[in-house]
Amino acid sequence: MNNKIVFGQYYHADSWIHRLDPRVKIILIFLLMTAIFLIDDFLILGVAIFLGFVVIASSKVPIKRFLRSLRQIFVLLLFTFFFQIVFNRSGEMVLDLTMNINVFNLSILAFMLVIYGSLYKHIRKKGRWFLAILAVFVFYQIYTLNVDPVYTYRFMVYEKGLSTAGFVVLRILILILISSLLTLSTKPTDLNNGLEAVLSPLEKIGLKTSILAMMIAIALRFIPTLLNEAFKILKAQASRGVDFREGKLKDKIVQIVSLLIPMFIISFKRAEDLSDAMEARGYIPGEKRTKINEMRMKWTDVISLVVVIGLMVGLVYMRVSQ
Amino acid sequence: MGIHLQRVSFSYDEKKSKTFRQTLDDIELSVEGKNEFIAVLGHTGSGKSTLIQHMNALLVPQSGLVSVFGKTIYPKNNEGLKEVRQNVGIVFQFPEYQLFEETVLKDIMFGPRNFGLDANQAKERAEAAAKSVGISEELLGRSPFTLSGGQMRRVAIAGVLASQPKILILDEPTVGLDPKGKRELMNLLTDLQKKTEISILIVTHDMNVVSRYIKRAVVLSEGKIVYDGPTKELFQKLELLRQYHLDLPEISKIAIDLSERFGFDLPYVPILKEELVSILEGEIGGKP
Repeated sequence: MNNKIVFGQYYHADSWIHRLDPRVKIILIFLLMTAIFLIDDFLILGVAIFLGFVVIASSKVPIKRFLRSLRQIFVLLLFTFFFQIVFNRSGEMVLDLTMNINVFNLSILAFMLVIYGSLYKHIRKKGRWFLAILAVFVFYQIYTLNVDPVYTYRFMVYEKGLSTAGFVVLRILILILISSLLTLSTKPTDLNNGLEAVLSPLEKIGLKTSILAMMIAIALRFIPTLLNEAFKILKAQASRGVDFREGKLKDKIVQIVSLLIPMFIISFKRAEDLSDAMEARGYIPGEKRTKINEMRMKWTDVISLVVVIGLMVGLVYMRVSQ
Repeated sequence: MGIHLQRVSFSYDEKKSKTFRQTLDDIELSVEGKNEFIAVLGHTGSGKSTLIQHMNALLVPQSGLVSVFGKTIYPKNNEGLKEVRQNVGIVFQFPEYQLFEETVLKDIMFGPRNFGLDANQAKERAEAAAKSVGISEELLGRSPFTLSGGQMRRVAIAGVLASQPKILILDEPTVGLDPKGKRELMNLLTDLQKKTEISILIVTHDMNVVSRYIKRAVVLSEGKIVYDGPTKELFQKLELLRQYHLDLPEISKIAIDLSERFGFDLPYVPILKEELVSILEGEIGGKP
């Protein structure tokens, strides 16, 4: 039937990034993330961003998918940016705006909020943006009027604040892009295998990474299955008159219970069956296992590792020689 | 009255995608609200489950109309679907997984309670439904999870029956049961149908069940209805059965095998034991 449930954000394509060894990819991403924090020059940061986009373009993953992951942290980025600009006051002053709050513009502000609120539902998305921008503009005009100020605020922007804000925002941007490149171009199972291999040295200090990796792999494998089961139970209970949209709170609780208990029972049953099947095929937790797809380093892996390590060394050298 | 599907089409794919395929393609089907006993047959992926879900508005048609006891279901903006679900009850595959209450009785009462009956009425109906599926009174106070597989399935069926649907739909009700359990369940459903005169529609792969108990068969293939008529005539169309990967009942297989081995012609393909016996008697009688 409809097995359209996809977990993770893996985007299937055939590019050299997709073909990279997942272990190498994880190490590379880690190195690159560190490298971003070593850069303290706008020019080099710009070059880094350019190179980043070249790599992203060569991954054959549509840029839209990257933007989608950026959208989630957009508010955070905006917040950091303004925080830096407002509170970092060192270096030369670049902008000085005197703003006055008085009875006049406060009432206008309230009036605009009311209009915006009442119109919000009736206008389309683009119209909303237009209205918001218009409101900010009008508000700014009135804001700078100097009529009986109740409170005066001097909005000052300093050089240092601006550059720090730029750095922070650009760094976070690159971090997100790089980490999305990893999750977009690697299947969750490969990612898990790669992590297991990369973290395997930790076995020496008693952390059972192979068991952990197996747990994650099983969880990933069963998310779609259990979701399918959940839909089936939902339909079965809907046939018995459950309607999740209506009913009082008390009814709603019973309705949710009618979904949860069967799901628990199914999960336990599946877990038992699976553990029996695994045991029957000789799985012993923590023992050494061979894999059907042995990860092998290819020349592209080696080259990319060498290039990135070279970049790191260069950056560290620059940093030290300054 | 009953269920009428008019030019119903449905697809799980998005129209834009390359692999676009209609799961239901221009379906015309009527199920009377009384005294029907229908089998829906078809290969895996032929759209059987999708079809039955349209019959109680768990899925709504993407084009076409479904009318259920006078209520029309449109491709969009439907309201009052609860009433539809009360008239048409579906028992899904492995319905034992839908049990969740503390006691068997409470679980059977769940449906009627949802459809707005008070506790006393619901209890009465639940007890009647339990009785009609052969669940004894001692079991009513027990937890459903302590029952055997066959009993759990009956409790689940009772859970749908308790809402007193006019049409009962069962998706592979006999799958996973042993031969005895299968026979018991089918006998129970035939009895129920005769006694209450409700319509029953069964999705199944088991041709022995079809030939033995069911009068009308609907065959689906790739979302289209390719046969709708008496069961008996369906099994005479050997070519059609082969084309749509449908099996013959054991009795018919035996009859065909015998006729080939001993070189006599079958006047028709028998689907019941009695029919085969009478044909064979005729053969023996003819050549003493």
